[in-house]
Amino acid sequence: MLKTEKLLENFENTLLKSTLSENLTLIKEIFKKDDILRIREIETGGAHPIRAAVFFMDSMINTLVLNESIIKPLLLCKCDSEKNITDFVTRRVLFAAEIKKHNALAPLLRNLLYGDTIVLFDGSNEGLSINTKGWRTRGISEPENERVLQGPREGFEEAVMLNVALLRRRLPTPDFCVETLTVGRRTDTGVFICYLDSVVNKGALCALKQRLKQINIDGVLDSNYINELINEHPNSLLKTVGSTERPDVAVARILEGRIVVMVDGTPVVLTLPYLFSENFQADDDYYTNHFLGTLGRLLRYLCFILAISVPAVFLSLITHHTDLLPTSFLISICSARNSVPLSSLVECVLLILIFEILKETGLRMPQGVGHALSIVGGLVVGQAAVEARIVSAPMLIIIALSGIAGLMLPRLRGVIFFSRLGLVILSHYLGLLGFFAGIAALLIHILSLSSFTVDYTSSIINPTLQSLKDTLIRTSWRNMLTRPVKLSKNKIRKSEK
Amino acid sequence: MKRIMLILILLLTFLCGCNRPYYEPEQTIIISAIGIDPAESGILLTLETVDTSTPEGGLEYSKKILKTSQKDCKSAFLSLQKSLGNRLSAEHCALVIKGKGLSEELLYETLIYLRDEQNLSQNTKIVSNENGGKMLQLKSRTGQAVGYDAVKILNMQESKSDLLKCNLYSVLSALHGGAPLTLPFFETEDDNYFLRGQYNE
Repeated sequence: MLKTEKLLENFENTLLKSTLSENLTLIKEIFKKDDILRIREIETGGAHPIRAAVFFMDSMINTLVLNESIIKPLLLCKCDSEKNITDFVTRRVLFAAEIKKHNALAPLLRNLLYGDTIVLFDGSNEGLSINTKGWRTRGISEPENERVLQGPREGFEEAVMLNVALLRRRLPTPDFCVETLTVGRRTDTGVFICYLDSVVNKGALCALKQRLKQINIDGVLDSNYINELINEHPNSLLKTVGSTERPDVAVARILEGRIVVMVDGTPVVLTLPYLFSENFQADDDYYTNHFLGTLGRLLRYLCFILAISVPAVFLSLITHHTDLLPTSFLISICSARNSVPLSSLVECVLLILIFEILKETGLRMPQGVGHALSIVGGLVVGQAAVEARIVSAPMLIIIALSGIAGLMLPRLRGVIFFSRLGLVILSHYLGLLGFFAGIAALLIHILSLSSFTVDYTSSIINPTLQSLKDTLIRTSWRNMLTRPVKLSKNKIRKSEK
Repeated sequence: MKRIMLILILLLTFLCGCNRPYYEPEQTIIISAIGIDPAESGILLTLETVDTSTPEGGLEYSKKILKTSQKDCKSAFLSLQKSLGNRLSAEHCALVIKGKGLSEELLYETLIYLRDEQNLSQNTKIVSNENGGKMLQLKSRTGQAVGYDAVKILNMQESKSDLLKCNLYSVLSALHGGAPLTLPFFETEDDNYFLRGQYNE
């Protein structure tokens, strides 16, 4: 890092001068290429007015608050004989909820860049930082990727203080703790760590704080930056840090002993520790009847197995183990594959890739074009390719079935794609032996993971009756008496009567 | 440790599996029935195969007859495979027809070879006929291969009467034990075939 770089940490030891003109010159020099900074020089009222300067960033402040609560009172105040002007103004003049005093330059600039208004006085080496944040926000709306049929429809947004308020509203208890720190040398991004003190996994909390302190990066623009920097398995496709855009989900996880990490500027918050079984949980499970929740959850487990294994098993059966297939089925497959020029492996991989391309394109395209895409995808890939004997119908059906099963689990998208491809290749060359070797390798990998001192599969291996009640199935809230075992030492959900 | 385990598993898998050839489905010739008749040079092997080149698939398909005469079954299979270039698959063979005059020793050798080398299923039915090859060339009433059709007839009879078990396992046990071999007999008449009963030749 060059000393000439205009980073706030370079000004940590710079103190304000007593004369306003010197401070003005210094600040103007720092922001000489920044046309957004506004400076309003004023004089207080009274017989012996005192010169002052008001600094703010255009479009980041609430102008009404600035005019009515800061500039107007200052212009009208009479502070002739006051020895400590900043003290007097803070206690008797300004109409603001939050005012901080600093004599160092760095914290003043930090607050200025975050939407506060700075006031400096001639003859004082202290500056005032007044909360006047007023930038426009998106507004609370339902997250697009986490829609529910029944349940709350609030979602986080980019302003982190609003997100904290959404959590605080649901957890009105002093036990709810919010710790803050900043990461990113240039962006100075605020990171908020939220948890319940009596319930949280202390080991995970210590590990998290340690890793956050070790972050050394230029800028953090999204929670995924933090995710990748604190993740203990960065090369694994499986998530060991969860994420959500819903405050109700965040609070539910906090109540189970997890920690929520909020990053300023993004509506996606991180939740940790994150367990393997959470990939199969949906928000809807808890807002509908528990039988329906159980059904949905079992379907997701089944879809995971189908998504990764059906193409591989099919390929191994038709190339290596035709004796395991019913005769009429084998005859159908042989007839369908007649005059298909591609080998079964190439055909399978090609169809998998085309399906992924269609899926990705569907995500990125504007809505109006989406209909055309589905027609092109269905007609061209589905019908025309089969009729032209470029691909066979059975293979297309198998890939479509596995692809649709994979869509049920958006959190496991990457794992499903790569596992499917890997198992297909192993099965093609080695038959069912290769398939089971691939499954064994995948299982070894899943079992070796951990998330912030908690085993990734802790709710599934060494299962207890209580832990199974919210993993494979979702029992009624009457029966869920304890929290997940490894996540919190404070196991009891219900109060003692 | 985990990475070593992973590498070991994959390595073992490759070492154990790399000598196993694979065939595309369309490179496999499905045998539905085998006819074994005595010949001067040894045996006359007739194979009824499913012709998957027709687009219908499913139960509607045509059949092809392959014939060869060699000193034993192994030579017959090898010569056919060499001439066709594709893999002959006896895994879905439902019926083996013993022709008249075929010795029990030769039948035993042939069945052992088919079971061990060609993966003939233990549930394959063994029947007898005047001429196995000629029976396979007939058209079945249902449009399916003669082998599958004949097995359906046998299964229906088994449920109605005390037809002796004639699957591969039972026949091999009888031949090995030296017991008299009694097989269901199919008679052919006017391009049709029907089950006559059980005979000990």
